[in-house]
Amino acid sequence: MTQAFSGEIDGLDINTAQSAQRVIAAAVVGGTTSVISDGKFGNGAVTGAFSRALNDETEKDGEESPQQKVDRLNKLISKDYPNLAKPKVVAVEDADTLFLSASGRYVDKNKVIVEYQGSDDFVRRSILHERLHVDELNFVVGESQNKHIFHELFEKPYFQHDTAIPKFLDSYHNYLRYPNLQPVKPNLSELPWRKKE
Amino acid sequence: MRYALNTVLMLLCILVCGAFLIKYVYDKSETQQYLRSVAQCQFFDLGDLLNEKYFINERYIDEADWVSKISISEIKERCTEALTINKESFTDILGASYVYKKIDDNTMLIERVSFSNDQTVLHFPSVLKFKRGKIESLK
Repeated sequence: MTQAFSGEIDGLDINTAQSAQRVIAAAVVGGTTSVISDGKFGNGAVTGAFSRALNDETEKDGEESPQQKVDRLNKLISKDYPNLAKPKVVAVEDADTLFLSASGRYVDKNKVIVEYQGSDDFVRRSILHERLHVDELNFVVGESQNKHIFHELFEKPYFQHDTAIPKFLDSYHNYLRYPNLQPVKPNLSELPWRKKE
Repeated sequence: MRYALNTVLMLLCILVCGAFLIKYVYDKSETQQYLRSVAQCQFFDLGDLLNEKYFINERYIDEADWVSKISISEIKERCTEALTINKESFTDILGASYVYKKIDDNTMLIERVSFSNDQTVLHFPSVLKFKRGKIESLK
C-alpha cells in the first residue's frame, strides 16, 4: 500500500532526483497510510522509506550501464573528497589477474579499473580503495610513478598492504552507513602520506 | 661461447622467476584486502538484512529460523560472493561462521565467530548489535 501511493512521488522531482527527498516523501506517505490502515505512523514511515530506497536502487541498476554506475559512485566520492587524486575510473567485469583476486586494480597514475558488480556500498569502497592508492603514490613518488612498485614492495614492512587504506575505508563506510555511530566524515589529512606534507 | 649463453639464459630465468615471485607476493596482500572487503560486506549486509526484518514484524525474528529467512542470492548480489550454509549457520568467504542472538523482541546481535588467521591482519568489527531497527554498537 505504501509503495502504491509513493509511486506518485516520482513525478515531483524528475530532474532534481534527490533520493533523500524521495525517501522522506515515501516515509510520510507510508506513515500516513499506516495510520489510515490502523497501524502506527512510525513503523509505516520506516517501511515506506526502506522500500523507497530499495526501489531506487533497483531502478538505477536497471537503467544504468556499468560505467554510469561507477561514474555516479565516483562522483559521490569526489563530492566528499574534492582534493583526492582523480584518476579515470573504468568499469570492468573482472579485475583479476594471474595471482590477484581483487575488485579493482591500479593501472597508472591516470587510470584505475574497478569491477562494477555488487551493491553501491561495495563498488564505492572499491573505487575509493583504488583512488587512495593513486593518491598515496602521487604524494610519495610524485611524477616518477615507475618507482611505485619499489615503494609498494620495499618501503612497507614484510610486503604487507598499507594499513592506512583499509582503516580509512572502514571509517568512511561507518560514516555513510551508521552515522549515529560515526557522525564525522574521516578527513584526508589523517592519511599518513598527507601528514608528511 | 656456449658457457656464456647458458649463463645469460640462467640469469634471464632467475630474473623472470624473481619478477613472478615479487608479483605473487604483492598480489597476495591485495588479494587479502579483497577477501577482507568481501567478508566485511557479507557480515554487515547480513546484519542489515536481519535488521530489516524488524520493520515487518515490529520484533526481531526468532533464532530458530533465522537462517531460512535470509536470501543467500541477495548477499551474493551485494557482495559478489555468496555465503555458504553450514550447520544451521552461514560461513563467509574467510571461513568464519555467524551466531545470531535475539536478546529480546527489540534487540538482537549478530556475531562473527570461528575466524582464525584473519583476525590480526584483517581485523574489523565482529559484533553488530541492533535495537529497534537501528545499529546500537559495533565491536
